[in-house]
Amino acid sequence: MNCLTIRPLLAAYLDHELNDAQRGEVERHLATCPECQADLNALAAMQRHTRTTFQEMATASVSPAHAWQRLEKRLSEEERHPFKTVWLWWDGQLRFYPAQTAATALIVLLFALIATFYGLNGSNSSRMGVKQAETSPSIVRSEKTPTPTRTVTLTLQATTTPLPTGTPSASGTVAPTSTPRPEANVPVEPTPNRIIRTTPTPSLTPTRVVVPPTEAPLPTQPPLVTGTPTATVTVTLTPTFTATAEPIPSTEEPIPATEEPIPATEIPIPATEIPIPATEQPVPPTEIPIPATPTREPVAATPPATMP
Amino acid sequence: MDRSVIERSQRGERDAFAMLFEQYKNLVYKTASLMLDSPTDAEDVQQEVFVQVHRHLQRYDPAKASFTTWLHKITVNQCLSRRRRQRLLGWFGLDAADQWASIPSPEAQLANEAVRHGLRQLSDKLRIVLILRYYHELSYTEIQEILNIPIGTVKSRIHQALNELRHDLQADFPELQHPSPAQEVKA
Repeated sequence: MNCLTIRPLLAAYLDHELNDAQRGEVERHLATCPECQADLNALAAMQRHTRTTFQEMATASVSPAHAWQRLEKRLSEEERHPFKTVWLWWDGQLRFYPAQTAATALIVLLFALIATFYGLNGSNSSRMGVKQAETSPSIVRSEKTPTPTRTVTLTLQATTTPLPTGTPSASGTVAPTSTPRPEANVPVEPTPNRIIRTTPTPSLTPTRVVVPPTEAPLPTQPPLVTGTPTATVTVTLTPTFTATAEPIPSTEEPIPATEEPIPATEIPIPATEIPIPATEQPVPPTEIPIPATPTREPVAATPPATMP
Repeated sequence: MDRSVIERSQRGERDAFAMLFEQYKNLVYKTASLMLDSPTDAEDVQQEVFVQVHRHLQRYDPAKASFTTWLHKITVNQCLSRRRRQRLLGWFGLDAADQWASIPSPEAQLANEAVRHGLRQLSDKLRIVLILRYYHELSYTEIQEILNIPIGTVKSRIHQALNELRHDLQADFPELQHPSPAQEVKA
């Protein structure tokens, strides 16, 4: 054996990890080679330094006092939820990982697949379309075309109260009874001009109420509604009538003629007293003097007008 | 370790497992602290090792390996896994500073600071064989079993690790001087 074959064995020789034959070969060579003997001495010194340094480093590190408490808490947690770990292939090994890690990996993988899919198919915004907001029967808001001019149809439902027998007088109250739901982030805007047409009973004179514009007109590009806007407007008039509201495009719509010309009474209501959009402030009842008319046969209620 | 303690732990007795933990907590913690240079990581590894032991203790077979060897195997795997995580965090600039360096050291520790620095420069596979051999004083056969490598590889890794350390430290320790190139060539 020469120096090149002896030197790789010197550490094992010092560690007594050679068999008898190898040990004999090494000892015979060391007896005749001072360079390999010097190398052996250097290796022995290196081993001493390594042992000493490890001992000092280990002495400086003390196991934490609360280690068992921490471990016991975790073991109890594992016993309560034994399936919180899953097998995952990672670092080239199949091993247990916490379920949270698996869930995170799954989510990342899912996002990567989605991103890859949309990356390959281009930007198809219709796939990512916003779900159209559901609307209650009270307010129908159509957003079929995403053009700047949008059509908003507002239908107010009215409750009717039976006509009490007695004095033929009428009083009208227009007040919101509820506000939009919290998830509806867009308040209900009032229509610029609104006419509440009433079809009176034969004993009453029809009343025509003109509601002046109370707020700014609807924006041409309102924000999207993500919730379910709901507003219920209760119109209570005595005696019985049915009220419908519709926006007037430019001029006032003439009231369809009935059998007899009925005198119309225009009662302007102050703008601040009709908080239809979202406010809680009720409109004080307005006494609407209705001239008494002779009793006639009941007239069928006018069906609510709908906007195209 | 009393065999009955392991058997009782395998049956799920918590007090027996507490005794097991008390017996081996330092073995695991010190291996982790020597390997990871971070008390926080060492504590985490200690916890994780005993969770693994508790989880897989039913599968431990005393006929195949001693409990210490089995425990070393889990500890080494956890340490290497944590080292990979440290390197990954290091790539993103999120690795913590060497926390051992901030621990007040006695004079003897300061004298061996160069050795500690040299040990930190070693690769994981070389460092772990030195820890197992020169701190735990395990035989090459035990190291082979723990690392699942041939015994010839154990010898060559120890030889390589000592020579790399000696190369780094010969400026500080004259007794570690390498033979001259001429002497190396001389065969």
